[in-house]
Amino acid sequence: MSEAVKTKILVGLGACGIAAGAQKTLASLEEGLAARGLVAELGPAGCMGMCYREPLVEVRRPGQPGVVYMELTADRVPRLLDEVVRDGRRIDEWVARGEGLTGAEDSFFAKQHRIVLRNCGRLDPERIEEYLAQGGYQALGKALRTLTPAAVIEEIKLSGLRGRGGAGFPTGTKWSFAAAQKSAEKYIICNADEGDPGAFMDRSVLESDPHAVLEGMLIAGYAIGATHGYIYCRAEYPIAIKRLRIAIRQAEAGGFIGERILGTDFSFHVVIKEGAGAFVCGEETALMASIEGRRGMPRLRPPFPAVEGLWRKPTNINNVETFANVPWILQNGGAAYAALGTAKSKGTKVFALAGKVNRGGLVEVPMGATIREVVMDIGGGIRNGRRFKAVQMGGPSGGCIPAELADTPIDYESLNQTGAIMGSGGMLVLDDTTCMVDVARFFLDFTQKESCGKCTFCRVGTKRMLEILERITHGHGREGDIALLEELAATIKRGSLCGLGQTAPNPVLTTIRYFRAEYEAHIREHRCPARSCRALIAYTVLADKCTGCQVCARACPVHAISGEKKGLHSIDLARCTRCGLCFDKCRFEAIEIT
Amino acid sequence: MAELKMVLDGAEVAAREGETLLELARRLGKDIPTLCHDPRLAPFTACFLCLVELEGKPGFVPACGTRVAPGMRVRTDSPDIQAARKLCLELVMSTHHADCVAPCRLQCPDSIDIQTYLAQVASGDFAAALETIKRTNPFPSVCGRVCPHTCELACRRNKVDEPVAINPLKRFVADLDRAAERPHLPPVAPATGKRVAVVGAGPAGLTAAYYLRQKGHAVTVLEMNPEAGGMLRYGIPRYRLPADALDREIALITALGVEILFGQRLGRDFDLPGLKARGFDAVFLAVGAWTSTALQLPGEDMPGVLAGIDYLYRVARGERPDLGRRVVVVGGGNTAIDAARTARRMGAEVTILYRRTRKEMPAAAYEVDEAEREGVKMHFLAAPLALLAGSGGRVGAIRSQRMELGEPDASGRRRPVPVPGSDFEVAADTVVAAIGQRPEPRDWADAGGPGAAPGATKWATVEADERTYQSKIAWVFAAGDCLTGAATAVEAIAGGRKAAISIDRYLRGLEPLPIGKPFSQIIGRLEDIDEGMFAQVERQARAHPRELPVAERLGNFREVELGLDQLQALAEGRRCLECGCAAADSCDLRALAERYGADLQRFGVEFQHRPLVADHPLVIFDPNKCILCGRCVRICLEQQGAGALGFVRRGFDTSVRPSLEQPLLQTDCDACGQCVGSCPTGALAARQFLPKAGPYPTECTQVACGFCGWACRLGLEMVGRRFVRAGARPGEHHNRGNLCVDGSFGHRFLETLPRLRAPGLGRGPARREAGWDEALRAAGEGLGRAARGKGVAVLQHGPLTNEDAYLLARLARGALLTPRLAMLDAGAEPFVRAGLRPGLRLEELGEADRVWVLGTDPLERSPVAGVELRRLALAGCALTVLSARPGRLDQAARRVLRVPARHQAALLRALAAAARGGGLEALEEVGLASGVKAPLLLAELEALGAALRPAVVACDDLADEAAEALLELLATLGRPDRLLVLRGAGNALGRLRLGLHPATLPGALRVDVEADVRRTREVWGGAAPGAVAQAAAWTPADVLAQVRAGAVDAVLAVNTDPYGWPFGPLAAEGVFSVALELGPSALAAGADVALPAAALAESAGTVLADDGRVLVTAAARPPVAGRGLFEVLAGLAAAAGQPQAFGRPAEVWAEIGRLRDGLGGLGQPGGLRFWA
Repeated sequence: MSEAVKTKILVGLGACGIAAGAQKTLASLEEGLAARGLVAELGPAGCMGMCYREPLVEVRRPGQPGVVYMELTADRVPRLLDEVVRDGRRIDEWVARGEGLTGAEDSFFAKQHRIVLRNCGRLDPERIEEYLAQGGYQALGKALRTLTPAAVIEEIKLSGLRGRGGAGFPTGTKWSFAAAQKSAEKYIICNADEGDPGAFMDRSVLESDPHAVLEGMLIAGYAIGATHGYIYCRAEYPIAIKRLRIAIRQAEAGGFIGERILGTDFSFHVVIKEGAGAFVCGEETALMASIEGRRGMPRLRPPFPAVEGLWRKPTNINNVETFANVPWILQNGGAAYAALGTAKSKGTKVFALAGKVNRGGLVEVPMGATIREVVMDIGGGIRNGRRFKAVQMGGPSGGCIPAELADTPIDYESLNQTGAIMGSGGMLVLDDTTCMVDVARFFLDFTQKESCGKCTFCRVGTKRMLEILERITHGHGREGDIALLEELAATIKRGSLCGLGQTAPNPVLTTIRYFRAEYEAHIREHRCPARSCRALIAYTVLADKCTGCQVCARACPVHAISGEKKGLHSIDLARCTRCGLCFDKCRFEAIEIT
Repeated sequence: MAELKMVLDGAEVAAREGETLLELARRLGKDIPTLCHDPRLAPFTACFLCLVELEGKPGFVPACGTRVAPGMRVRTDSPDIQAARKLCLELVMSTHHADCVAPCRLQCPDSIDIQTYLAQVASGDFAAALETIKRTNPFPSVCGRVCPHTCELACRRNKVDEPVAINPLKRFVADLDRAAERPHLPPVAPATGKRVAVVGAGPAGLTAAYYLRQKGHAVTVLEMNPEAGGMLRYGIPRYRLPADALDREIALITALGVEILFGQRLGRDFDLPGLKARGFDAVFLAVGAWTSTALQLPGEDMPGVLAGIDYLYRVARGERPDLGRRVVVVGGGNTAIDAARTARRMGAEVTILYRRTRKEMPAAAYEVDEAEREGVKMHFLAAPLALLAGSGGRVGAIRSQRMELGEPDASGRRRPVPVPGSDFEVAADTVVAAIGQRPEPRDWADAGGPGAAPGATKWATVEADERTYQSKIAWVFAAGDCLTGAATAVEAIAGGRKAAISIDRYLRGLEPLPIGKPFSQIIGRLEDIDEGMFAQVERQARAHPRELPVAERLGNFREVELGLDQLQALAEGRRCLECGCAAADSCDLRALAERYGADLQRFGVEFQHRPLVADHPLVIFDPNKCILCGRCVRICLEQQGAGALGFVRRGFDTSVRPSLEQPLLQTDCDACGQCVGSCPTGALAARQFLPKAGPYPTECTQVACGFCGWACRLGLEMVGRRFVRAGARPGEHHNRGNLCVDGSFGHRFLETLPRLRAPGLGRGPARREAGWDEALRAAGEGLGRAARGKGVAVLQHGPLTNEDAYLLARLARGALLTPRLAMLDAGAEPFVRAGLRPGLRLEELGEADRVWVLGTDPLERSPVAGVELRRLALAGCALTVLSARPGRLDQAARRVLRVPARHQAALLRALAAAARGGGLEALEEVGLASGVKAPLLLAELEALGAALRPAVVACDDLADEAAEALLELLATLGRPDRLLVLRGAGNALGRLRLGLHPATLPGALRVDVEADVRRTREVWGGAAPGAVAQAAAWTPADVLAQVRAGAVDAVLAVNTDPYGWPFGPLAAEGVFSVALELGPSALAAGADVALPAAALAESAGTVLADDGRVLVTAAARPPVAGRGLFEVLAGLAAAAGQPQAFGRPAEVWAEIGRLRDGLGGLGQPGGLRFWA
């Protein structure tokens, strides 16, 4: 039986899908198919982007366009098998999207432009055939057979591609530095040490389309004259690592990796190096130290890796997303890529959209789209109808951009102007219940713990800043604390060796810049305007709204609420831990935060 | 070296390609601070203190790691840079949980270095303790009696049991000094020609006089009273401070040449402008506070009402004022208590009225207790209202009212508030008002018209700066009670001392500077410190001084407190917890933090105290002081190649730990001490064997290390005659500041090795101690007799200076006429001969393009030479190791040839044959046998032969045969001069060249060269150098065999026993034996004459390093038994019939210069640096 006549069922088995129960869906599908005697090709796919609707299952009946069904938990499988697979009907109310149909989630995709994510969720990442069927490794072939290394670099330069790890250095230029070095040994490193809390772009790409990354590395290797590549991937990404291993094995078997690739003189080997999960190892010099078996500590640059990198040899390091762009550019031409985006920021950017937004997931938009478009149009607006307050862009090194600046176009320069950065693509949406001081504290807590401990300002300075933020959120802020934070922040930024320290104060600086009044309210009035800081709030029962239903009293884990049935309840604030359960549970809005 | 142009702080400079900004700046004399950089290490760029600005870069860059570039524009100083460095130091200090200076010292108004004197007391070094105190306080005997010792309140021992008896210890050492034949007198600097007038011979004035005189200024003290001492004499009763204690300490001040003129009262007998006119360059006002504060009550002018201080003054002058039976003292200060106890001694019934409670009394609690024990009654919460007349117009009673305590007042004490209707009367024949004293501004303020004298404040004190002590009249300074108002003796002494510093600066034309407390980090106030910190401290009760029983006190003024005895003092000294840092004076962090004005309290942070890591016998790590500069981690890895230390954890929790978090002893630690030497704070320290770690005032003597032939330059720090630690500064001398375990720690033998302390005569039970002259005569005569008989064998081992070696060789060959001269640690015989010719110098090694290393791993045997080789290899020099066993240098080598020892000679011979162009059969054969393939050997040989600047480094423990073959190979290659022999023994090269070997004559002359022998004979005045050439060196077995065969009549053994050479039984063999030994060894015990030897570190002279470098070495302390080796050897020679005229070591070189041209200047300062 050929591929075309068999029904194909793809289950989204990215980490997001698995977390939503997709493994159970897959098992039910297997079982159900067998029980019904149905023949279908059942396989995994990567993340389809709509993480908020997982588990997602795509059904492709022979000769028909595929349809993606959403929230397909195991209990929905029998109906899917009966009606869709066996009877060939469609279950319209479950359709997320489908070609030629109106799906519930079409608007999620309307403003996206998927280059990096082109294959994500559309193919089985553990089968090279599917990648090949999508035109995979043709870009490599084109480069090796028809282009000189210099021409490859020219094409990348033409595309305007900039490093997607966050700093946005022009990729073609970077390649040309390493290419210019005379050395028998050079290295390509793929930085897959995605460490920002809440970011999962690289993981999704590796899980969903590993060959695209490998192909990008191979092309880069050819361009700079390297023969070895390392993928530095954190060990917390077991699925990505497993799929990468499979992909490397298959690519080796297919002659895409190894000696004399595709019959040319170009040889290239790829090794996966599992990182232990230190955030700082995403910094390129620390990453190289880690590969060499030393403690992951950044060192001063120059010398830059292009001159003296891994094992003191010229080395080119790019991030996962950067490499994933490369095959598309080679195949479609640099000019096609450069046609997307803004004057200085070309192409697309992937974001992990998360936080208080209705539709969180993996999105890819052309450069120049505004924050508002991403949050409101793609993300579907703020959850529970709350007010859009800010987005935290660029992870812990980034900054908070207030809603007033939501029309800022997403490109490197515009974001930098706001005090935030593009970063690797984390976008955390905050609403009016979020305390901005606490947000700054949260991110600084992360960076100070993840500092490698080398530079004084980063190691000690961030700790001292954190202590100040902690005392502010506890209501013990002192007059002068904001100035002290600003002095520390400015000096830490100037007096740190690597990006971690140079950017760690950003969340504090941007929140002070846009939300100074919130800081002042904490310090001077011992008040948290967002009513979020536990030490500064109290829960009380509104007499006119309480019905005496006792729900809150039962919910309270510390028995701080008392009251007769149908009588007015009250909260013992001495006992109350400010967990907020009563507030959440009350159906009559009778609990007030003061 | 290529140069490039760039701009540094606005000036165009020529930088050297490849150097860092820090190196450039330092080369140009600009100071950039750093904590993490050590010139021996690759830049780490961690502390960021060296941050500078680079034009075009928004961030700072670390100067230590940033390399120069053409056109670079750098600023090394700006307000931004200053602020960032200050913040950096504040942040570092916020993680540096330690006290630089102990809390007791910080508490002391006079900043007496208490911890140091306690440590000195603990070591039994009482004189040094006294000297420490006298650096800041000329009145220890006085203060040891009358000081309120708030230091003891700050003592952390309060958290354990009771505070250390700091003040009684001060009195203890001071009383010892007082009783000493020659009490401590500080040196006086040469006269400056400046004259200072001190007004007032009280504690402030005399103290200032003491320190000003030491600076060389002429000091005249003008005193209104007939005797000196001020309040000490007239305000403090004798039962607290006997006149003798005061007199003696004042006498030590006048003994310095301080003149005191009595009966001179300011404002009466002279005034300030008058002093100026008399030629005084500066005037120090220390007139005290003698005016009593009036009670301001009705009836105060009645007879029988006395001011406290006037009463005490009169008693002190020998009067016995009529008090009547009942005395009421008003007040709660020390004057009130003194007056009450004095009145008690005069037989009165005494009652004290005080308006607050006992707790608020300003008097010392001890004094209040003693007053009560002596029968003084106390009425607390009672304030006088009026004085009531009694019979005859004299006071008869005092009316008072009850008080209660209200809200705290400005002084922080609760304000007494009258209780209405609570009046009561107390009968009194005398009322003593002791509620306060103040200065009398009339004395100085009005003198000489407006602007001619300092004014007075509203408290009647002198208007002067309280930090510089200078008044608005630049040449008039003030301190003591007249500046502060009535205060304690120690405060007056502190004022006097600090004012002396200001006056001295003024006299030298400098601006006076504010003088504050020592700069110090503090781990917290006593009440904030967690007692858990001291959980490990053993509880031990405080020693209490003996006291005069109460019954014996009344009716006399005998001293009440009787002081500690010596055992109590020793134990008390050891109770000190050593809060202050022993490295406080060498700490880079402290110095920089002070320089940049870091605010140490800026980040008030909580800190969890971490226990000391003291599981290593030599090194102690205090994690609380570690600032994570990483120098220890990196020096261990980069220089030593051991990698025994590393970082663990991340972020703020990062810390330095031994690798794999094992105890240091279980790592690859060499115990080289490099980590200790590199630590910029006191976090890493060498373990001490004095009872306390210090800090001590040390003297550092530069010596050549004698533990191997590399002869590292190091400084031995001594506390008096005691060795404390050894160290070397980075980049210094040929060892570049590197040391190995022996250099760092080996000199502890100076403290720990049992030593011969006096010459001994006779064997076994007949042994008796003898004087030097007798012992030398017996030894010299016995040896001389044997020389005229069958002969003498001379054995020597261990390091000697070149000069001592020469004397010994001269004694053996010239006086004892023996060729049987064995240097037992000479190493491989062929290398002995090689040592007589010039070899490779360190500088030449540094430029080598190909290096072979043979024999034992240098990192083991000559570790600092090993570090040098390792550095060379890591810098890219092709280094080949040929050795039998794996070693650490292997890791740095380009190639390692592992050749079993038994094949080494054959292999080297085969290489020599191949080099001669002979057949390769031998090479192939040895290749097969040794497991190193012939083509590889050939390739190595060719590379060495082709090298422009080859170098061969061999350890002298190579087998004789292999050494011979190596010399042959080098000769064949035509490069015999490219050999550097690493000698395992101290000054081995020097001793060889000075003739301590059968085959060598002094001056690197040879016994088998007729001209050399002839010349030696001529110079030595015809005395035959034991002229028979010896075939080979002797082994201990050879010596024993000769002795047993009856071939010699006597043996002179120099320092042969520490390593267990089997000479102990010599005594049994019937020969006359003389042992010149460091310690009481078996040989010394069995010798006919045992003479104490001096160690190299106790000898002055020169030493030759392995490459022929001449090092001058000094004696870190006098020899333990009174005579140095030089004198002893000269004495032996004289007694053996060959007197010599060498009075000083340097004089031997004139004679050696006659033996061999060009060597004459070697011993002179600035003479030869190399004896190649």
